[in-house]
Amino acid sequence: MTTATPTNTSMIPTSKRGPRLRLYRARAYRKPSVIVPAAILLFILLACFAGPTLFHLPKPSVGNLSDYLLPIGSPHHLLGTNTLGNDMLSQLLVGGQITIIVSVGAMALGLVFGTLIGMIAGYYERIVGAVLMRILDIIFAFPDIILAVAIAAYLGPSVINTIWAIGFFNIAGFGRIARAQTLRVVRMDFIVAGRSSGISGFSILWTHIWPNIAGRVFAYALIALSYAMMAEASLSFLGLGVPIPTPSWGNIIGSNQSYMSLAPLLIVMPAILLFATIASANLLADGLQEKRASTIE
Amino acid sequence: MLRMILGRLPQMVIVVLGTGFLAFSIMFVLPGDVVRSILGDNYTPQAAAQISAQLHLNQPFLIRYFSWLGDFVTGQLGTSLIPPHQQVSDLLGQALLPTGEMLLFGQIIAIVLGVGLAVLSVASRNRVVDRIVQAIALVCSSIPGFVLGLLLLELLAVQFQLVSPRGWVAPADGGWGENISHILFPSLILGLFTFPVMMRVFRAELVSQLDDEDYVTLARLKGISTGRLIFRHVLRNSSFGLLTVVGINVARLVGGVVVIEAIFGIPGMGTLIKNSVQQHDTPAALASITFVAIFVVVANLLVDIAYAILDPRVRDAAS
Repeated sequence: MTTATPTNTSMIPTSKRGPRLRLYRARAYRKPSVIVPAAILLFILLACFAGPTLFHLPKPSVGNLSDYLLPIGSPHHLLGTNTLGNDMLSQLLVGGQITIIVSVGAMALGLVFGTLIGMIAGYYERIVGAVLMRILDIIFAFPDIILAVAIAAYLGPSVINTIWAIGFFNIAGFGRIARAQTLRVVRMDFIVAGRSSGISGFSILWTHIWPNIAGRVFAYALIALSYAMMAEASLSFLGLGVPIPTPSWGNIIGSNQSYMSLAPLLIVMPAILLFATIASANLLADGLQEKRASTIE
Repeated sequence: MLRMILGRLPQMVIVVLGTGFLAFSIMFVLPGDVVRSILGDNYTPQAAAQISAQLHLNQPFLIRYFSWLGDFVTGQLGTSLIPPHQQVSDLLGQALLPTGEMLLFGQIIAIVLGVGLAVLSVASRNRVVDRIVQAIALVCSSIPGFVLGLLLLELLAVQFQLVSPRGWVAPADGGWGENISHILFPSLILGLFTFPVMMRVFRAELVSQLDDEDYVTLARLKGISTGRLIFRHVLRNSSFGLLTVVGINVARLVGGVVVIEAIFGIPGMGTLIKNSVQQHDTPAALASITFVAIFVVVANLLVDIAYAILDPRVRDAAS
């Protein structure tokens, strides 16, 4: 059995942005398990956001029906067209923008509110904590997609409403992580010292607890991002997410579902992009976690 | 044991009540006129007033909530607002079987894959095997369930015609054999979609047992082979980790069911919830959503009970 003390001492901040953070940067990102997925993500980001203007692509939904289902490599339509004659490359890249915006927005929503709730629940353990945790339990007990279906059906399909629907159930995940981490830190001597010297609760939460739990919360953020991306795709596939004609990877797959046998590439291409993005986010999360472990030891 | 269950009850009741309240609030603020959609062409102000009174639509929010809650607790789930106005309890009854079968088979497939691959990757002591297993898990956890479903459906059902593309045959129509053989394919997709989390947690559990536990060191010193050690000793001690992931998996499975049902057109709980929310069918939506919450909460309780049965320490701590 190993003891947990080395982990604890290294977690105590010595100065404000102390050596811990610098150590982080030095060795941090020079490993293939971090660099490769990060590079793929960066490439997808750049392609989606800069690509359409850089390559003067047509707008994703202005296709001509006479250009129906052009094959890959057609002039002016590098990846062909869909059943409405829309340029597939443009659909995929602009759809990627929407999917990324929605999932990052939903993740950020969960991060801000979930972390806040979790930290407060962990710090004020008694009544406030108990009430907040029960609320998080309620959100957690609810299968996320069902809640999102209900919220999205209520709000009506739109990009911003999809962010709300997915963000809402992200809150519980962040809340649990933040609470568990706060509970771990709150017992340490420097917090007890701060409390007894009369520093206000929120000031302790922000200046002392947050820097010590931020790493774990951000590590979870990448996982939450990949969940959010899947949720966006699933909702849009069900017709409850991003509404057509605005493309998103999910609704491109959903709207071409009936042409699966006729033109499988219309589904395979967005599926590959979705897979590459989610897999890179998962791999990057793994890589960073590995790195965290090695800096602690 | 009984005391532990009793101790958990208030918490469970709060979660179920909260979910019901949340669902009720969502249905309350849903835009759209229910009365108009019920009456359709027969709309007259008198008939509308009558229906509103009948459904308590003219009452304030809290009164409506508590009258619904009273009805729900006493088992009066009401009738669906959408023609043919079936009893909600009948709708639930019909939806339960397909979803229940999918959850059961999906969970079994996920356990077999998750545990099997975790043991394989640890027991083989082979970097290549371990990497391959990890890669399979990564691929399965990075493809959304519906994409996996659509691709496998196209490949196996349409191109190679190995399985039937129909996900659901009611036992009354084709017998239980037909029924189960059709539900297996959607369940397989559900299992593929959910097993990676299980595999990762269980693998970590196995590795930590092998690395940290004294009984492992002793067994090694006595010269027991790794395979024998894992199968005879470590697996039994890791059953805790397995229980945890089975519990975690329930919520994921239920979430996955909605999408898989949509792909295969299976008339289960997911379809019921999606349709009733979309059609503003309040009685059906509330009953089905609350039912799912009860199911998840009870499943979690069962996991905790299993912990207590397996480990006297948990049992004693609770009482």
